[in-house]
Amino acid sequence: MTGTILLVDDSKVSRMMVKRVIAEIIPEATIIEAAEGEEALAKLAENHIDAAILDFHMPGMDGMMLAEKMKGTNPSLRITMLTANIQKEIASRAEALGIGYIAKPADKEKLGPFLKP
Amino acid sequence: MSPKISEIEHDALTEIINMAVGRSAGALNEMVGQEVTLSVPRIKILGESEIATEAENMLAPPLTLVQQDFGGAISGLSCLAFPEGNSLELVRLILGEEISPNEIVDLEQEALQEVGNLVINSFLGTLANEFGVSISSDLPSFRKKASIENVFGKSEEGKGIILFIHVDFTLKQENISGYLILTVSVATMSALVELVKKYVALMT
Repeated sequence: MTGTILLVDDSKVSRMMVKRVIAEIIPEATIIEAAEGEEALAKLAENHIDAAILDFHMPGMDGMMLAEKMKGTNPSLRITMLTANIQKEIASRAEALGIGYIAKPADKEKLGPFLKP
Repeated sequence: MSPKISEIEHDALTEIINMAVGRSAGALNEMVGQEVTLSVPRIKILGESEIATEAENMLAPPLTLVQQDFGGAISGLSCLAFPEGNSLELVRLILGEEISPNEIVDLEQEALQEVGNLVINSFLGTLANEFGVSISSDLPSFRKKASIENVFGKSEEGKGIILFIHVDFTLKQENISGYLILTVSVATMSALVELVKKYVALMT
């Protein structure tokens, strides 16, 4: 079961909605938030993170680039993209990188298998 | 419709747009947890100078707008518009009853940008997937007390032709309505027509 989750999204509202879903799936989970890539990398370095949920479309570093950097320093970290971008190309890139792909909006059925594999 | 595409190509484009609209409605339905009904998409080929007039005939200001430019295989401008009174109610639906009225006002911009991001990207993503191309989009921007002319009325008058798609959507239980408008730029209209032709050729 996942204990500490890093949630990266530039939209505060999106983070609020995802946190609500995470709390339904794992009420005891600790959620660490970041609004952009550099902040996420700093929080990953400072904390023990069990899983990361990344938005794709963010100012500066996009979610795919961020996932690559995270994989570089934490190869075993479980990561999923959570994005409104439903293009097959994005899902394929996520698969090639060895990370998950979930289409927004998040709900228990979509996030559950990632958080509780 | 454009004289440059055949009836079957027009049908194919309409079908793809219907799929895209359906996908957008599905995403909004998941987000707000209630049924979203849609009008049949109105698809028109307009001269650039006709857009503002066309939009003004449909939507009365003041509006709350989320706007997103897109590029790649086709480029253009997409916009999600709400009559002003509707937008706060939509924010309340998304954020839940536990959010205070003050917080709803504070979070209105971010919440509607997220709605726009979801609805517009569901639409563009379906087009990209059906045509087998890549379409990128900018981050959404937000305007209050706006008119459609603020968004679409800036293009200089010209003889270029633009694809104009307009869909009304309604959240039945809350009587909230909004509009999705998308234009494809003059520069990539020919690319879109070619994509439609290839799509039809693959089916026949």
